[in-house]
Amino acid sequence: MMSEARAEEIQRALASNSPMNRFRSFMKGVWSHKKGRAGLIILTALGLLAIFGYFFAPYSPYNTNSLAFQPPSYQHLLGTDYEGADIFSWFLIGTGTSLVVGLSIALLSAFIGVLVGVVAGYFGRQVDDVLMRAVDVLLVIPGFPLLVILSAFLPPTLETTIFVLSILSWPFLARVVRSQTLSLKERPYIMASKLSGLNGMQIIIRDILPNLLPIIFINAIFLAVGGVVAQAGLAFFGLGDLRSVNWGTMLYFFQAEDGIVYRAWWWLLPPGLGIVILGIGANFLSNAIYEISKASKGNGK
Amino acid sequence: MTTSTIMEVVDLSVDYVLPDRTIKAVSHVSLDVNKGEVIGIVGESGSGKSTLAMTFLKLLEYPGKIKGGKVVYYGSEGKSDVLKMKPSALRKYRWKEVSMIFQSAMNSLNPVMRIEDQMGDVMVEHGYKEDEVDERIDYMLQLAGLTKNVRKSFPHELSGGMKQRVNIALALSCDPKILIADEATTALDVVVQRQILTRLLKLKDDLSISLIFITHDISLVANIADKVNVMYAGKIAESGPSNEIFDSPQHPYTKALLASIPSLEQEKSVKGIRGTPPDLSEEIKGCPFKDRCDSVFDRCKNEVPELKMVSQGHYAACHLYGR
Amino acid sequence: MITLRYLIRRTIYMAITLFIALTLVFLLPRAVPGNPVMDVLLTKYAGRINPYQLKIIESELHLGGTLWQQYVGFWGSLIHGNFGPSFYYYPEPVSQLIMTHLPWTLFLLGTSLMISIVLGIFIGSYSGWKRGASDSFLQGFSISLTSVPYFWLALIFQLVFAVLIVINGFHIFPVAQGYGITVTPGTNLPFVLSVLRHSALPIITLVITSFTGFALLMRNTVVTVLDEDYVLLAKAKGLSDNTIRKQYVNKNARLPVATSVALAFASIVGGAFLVEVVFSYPGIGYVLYNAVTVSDYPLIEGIFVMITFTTIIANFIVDLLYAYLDPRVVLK
Ligand SMILES: Nc1ncnc2c1ncn2[C@@H]1O[C@H](COP(=O)(O)OP(=O)(O)OP(=O)(O)O)[C@@H](O)[C@H]1O
Ligand SMILES: [Mg+2]
Repeated sequence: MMSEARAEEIQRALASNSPMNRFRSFMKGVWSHKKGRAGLIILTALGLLAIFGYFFAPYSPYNTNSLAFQPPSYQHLLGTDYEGADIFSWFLIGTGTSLVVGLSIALLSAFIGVLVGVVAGYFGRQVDDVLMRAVDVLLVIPGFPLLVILSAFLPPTLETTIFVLSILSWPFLARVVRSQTLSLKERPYIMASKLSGLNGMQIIIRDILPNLLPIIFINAIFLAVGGVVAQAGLAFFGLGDLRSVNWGTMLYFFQAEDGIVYRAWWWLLPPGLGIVILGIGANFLSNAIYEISKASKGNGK
Repeated sequence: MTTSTIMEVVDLSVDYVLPDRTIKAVSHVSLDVNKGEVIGIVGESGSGKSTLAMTFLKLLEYPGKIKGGKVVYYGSEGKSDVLKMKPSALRKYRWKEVSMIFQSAMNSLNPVMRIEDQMGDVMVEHGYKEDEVDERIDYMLQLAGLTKNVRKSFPHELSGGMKQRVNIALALSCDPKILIADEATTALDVVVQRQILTRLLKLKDDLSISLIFITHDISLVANIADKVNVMYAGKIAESGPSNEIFDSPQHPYTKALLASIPSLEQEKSVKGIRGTPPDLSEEIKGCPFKDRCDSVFDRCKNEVPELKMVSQGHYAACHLYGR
Repeated sequence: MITLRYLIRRTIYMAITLFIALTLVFLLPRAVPGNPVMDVLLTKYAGRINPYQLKIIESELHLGGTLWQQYVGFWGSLIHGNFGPSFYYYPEPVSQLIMTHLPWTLFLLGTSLMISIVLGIFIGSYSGWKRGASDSFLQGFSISLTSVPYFWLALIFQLVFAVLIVINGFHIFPVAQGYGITVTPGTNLPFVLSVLRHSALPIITLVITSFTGFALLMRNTVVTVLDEDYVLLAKAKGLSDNTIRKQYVNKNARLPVATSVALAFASIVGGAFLVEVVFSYPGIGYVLYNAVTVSDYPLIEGIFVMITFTTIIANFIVDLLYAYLDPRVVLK
C-alpha cells in the first residue's frame, strides 16, 4: 500500500512542469512500491540482456560446427540445436531482436491508438462515430487469421511483422483513451482552457494527454509484451523473416525440425521462459503504476 | 418487560471498525417491542437507525461489529438471544418471525429474477407448500395493492412505488410477528407515500403484527406510532408514548425536531437545527448534543447524560431532567 | 427482449464486417506489387500445374480483366460459396477442404471455451464468495499465465505428457494427430474414444491459458454483487447460502462474464490455430499452417473468410445469449 505522503509527493511532482522531474519522481514512486521494484528489476535485466547480449554470445548463431541436439554442457551452456548451433548464443541475440520488435510495435500502435482515441473522444459526433465503428469492426474480425493473411501476402521481413502487428493492436487502447478523454473533457479546468481560446489540439496536448499518461504507459507495456508474443506466434506459424534470430524463430525451428522427437527441452525452455518472465515483469510494473496513479488521484484535489 | 413483550433490546452497542477509525454507530440502546404495537424510531441521517434495525435480524456484516448487548426474541418456543443464534436457527427466525422493508427498497429486488420467484423462494424456504405458495403470492400482492400480473414481471419493469409495494408484499409473505419498515416511504412522492402508509397500517391491524417504523420525519411518526424512540448520535435521546413525546417533549433535541416540522395550520416559522451531529469516530465528551443545544450548561460539557424517567414510561437523556 | 429492428441492424452490421473482410481478401493480393498469386503459380507450382490448368485457375480466381470485372467475378463466385481451387491439393476446391477440417476446430474451440467458462465461473464464484480466499493463488496463476504463449505451453505439455513420461511402456497422451491410425473414422466408439484422447492435450492447453481470465472477472463481479442490497435482502429472508449464491449472486455476477466471451472468442481462435500446429491436429489452423508453408493463397483466403464468418456468428449468438440471461437487456 502507498503511504499518503508518498502519493502526495508523486502528485505534486506530476503537477510540476519539468518532464525530467516528473519522470524522476515517478520512477521513485515505482521503486518504493514492492511490485513496482520487482517489475523494474526484471524489465531492466531483460533490457540489459537485449542490449549487451550480443557481445556476450560465445558463438555466432550461424556457427554450425558442433554436433546437433547436444544437451547443455560446458561448451554449450544451453546445448545445441538441429544444426549444432549454440542455443545460448541464439537466446542472447534473440532477446534483443524480440524486444526491439515488441517495443516498436508498442510505440507505433500506442501512437495510433492514442491519436484515434483522443480525436474520437475530444471531437465527438460524426468523427467519433466513424472511428468507433472502425474500431468495432477491427475488434470483431479475429486477429490471428487477419495477421496470417496480411503476413502471407506482404514481403516476409521483420518490418512487415511490426507493421502488421501495429496496425492490428491499437483498437483496444483507442477505446480506453476515448472513454478517458470523454470524462476529462467535462472537467472544469478543461472547460476553462476552452473558454480562454485555446484550440482543440492545444488543449489535447496541454491538458488531456498528460492526464492520460499513466494509462497509456500501462497499455504500452502490454502492447509490447503482446507484440513479442504475437511475433513469436507468427514466426511459429512460419510467417515473417525466418532468418532473423529471435525467440519466435527459435520456437519455429524447434517445431519444424522435430525438437520434440529429440526431447530437446534445452531448446524449448529458454525462449518461452523469456516471454513468461517478460510478462511477469510487465504485470508487476503495470500493477504498481495503476495503484500509484489511483492513490495519487484519490489523495489529490 | 410485560407479558405481551415480543422483543427486548438490551444495552446494544454496534461499532463499524474501519482500518483507520472506529465509528460508534449505536451505543447502549435498549427498547421493548410489544405485540401489535407500532414503535417509531426517529432521528437525523447517520443517527444509527438502520444499523440498529439490522441487528434485529443479525444482518450486520463487515465492518460492523456488535460490541455488546442482547436482542431477546420471545417466540413460541420461549425466549432466545438473536445475536447468539446458530446459523440454522437464525435462518428459521429471519423473515418468519421478523421481516423488514429495507431503506434501499428500490435496489432490494434481484434484477434477474421474476417477482413471483423472489416471493416464492422465501415461502418455500419457510415451509409453505407449493400450491399454497402460488395462492399466497397473489394474495400478498393484492394486500400490498398490486395486481396479479406483477408476478411475472422483472423489477426493472416496475415503477418505484410498485417496487416499494412488492417489498411490502414480500415482507408480509411469511406472516411475520414483527415488521421493520426502514424509511419505507421516503423515496416516494407524497401521494404514493400516503397510500403506502395507510396500507401498511391497515395491514398491521388486520394481521396483528408489531411494526417498527423508522424515519427521519418526526411528523410521520406522530400519527401512527404508539411509542417513539428519538435517536441521536447512536443513542436514545428520548423515548416514551407517542402523545407524551409530542405534547410535552423533554429533550432539547426532540423539541428542535418538532420545531422543524413545517405546519399548515399555524403560521410559525420553521426552524432547522443548527450545526451538525458529532463525528461518531471520535470520543465524545459529555452530552453529544451540547454543541447544538440552546439550553447547554456546564454539566453538559463533562458528564454524559443517562436516560432518566421523567414520567411513567417516558425517558429522556438530558441533564435538565430527572433525578 | 429482441426487436425486429435489432435483427435488421445486426444483420446489416454483420454484412458490413464481412464485406470489409472480403474486400480485404480481394484487394490484398492485387495491391501488392507483382501479383504474388500468379508469381507463386508460375514458380512454386510450375511442375505440378500445367498451362491448361493454369488458365482455368486464372479464370476461377478472377485474376484477368479490369479490376472492376475481377471484383464482380469475385463476388459472383463467393455467392456460390466458391473460393476457387486449392493450389496444393489441386483440383480440390477450397470450400471442400474447409468443410472437412472446420468441424475439428469448432469441436476444439467449443469444448475448450465451454470448459474454461464453466471452470472460470466456478472458481471465480468460490473465490469471490469467500471474499478473496485463494486470491493470491488465482492472481499468481493468472499473472504467470497471461503472457504464456499458448503454443509454447502446448509444446511443454507435448514434451512432458506425450514423450518424456512413460508408464509401463505407454505414454499418457498421443503426440499428435486427431485420431489413431488403428481406428476408422465414423460413428463408432473406438473412433470417438481415440478422438477424445487425441484432443485432450490441445483442450487442456487452451483451457489452462484461458480460464483464469473468466475466473478473475467472475471473482471481481461476485465481490461487487455481494454488496448489493438484493443480496442483503436474500440473507434477511433466511435463504440458504446455496440458494443465495446460485439465484442471487451468480445469476447477476455471470453477466459481465458473458459479455467477455465475445472478446475471448476472438483471442482463443488464434491460440487454437497455433495449438493445432503443435499437435498436427487436423483442424483449420493446421491446414492454414500448411497452406502458408506452400503459399496456397486461395486456401488461406478461404480460411480467413470462413473464420471471420464464424466469429461474427459466434458474436451474434453471445448477444442473444446475453439478452436471455439479463431480462433488462433490450436488443433494439
Ligand atoms: N457499512 C458501513 N461502514 C462504515 N460505516 C457505516 C456503515 N454503515 C453505516 N455506517 C455509519 O454508521 C453511522 C450510522 O449509520 P446508519 O445507516 O445506521 O444511520 P441512519 O440513521 O440509518 O441514517 P439514514 O437516515 O441516512 O439512513 C453513520 O455514521 C454511518 O456513516
Ligand atoms: Mg438508514
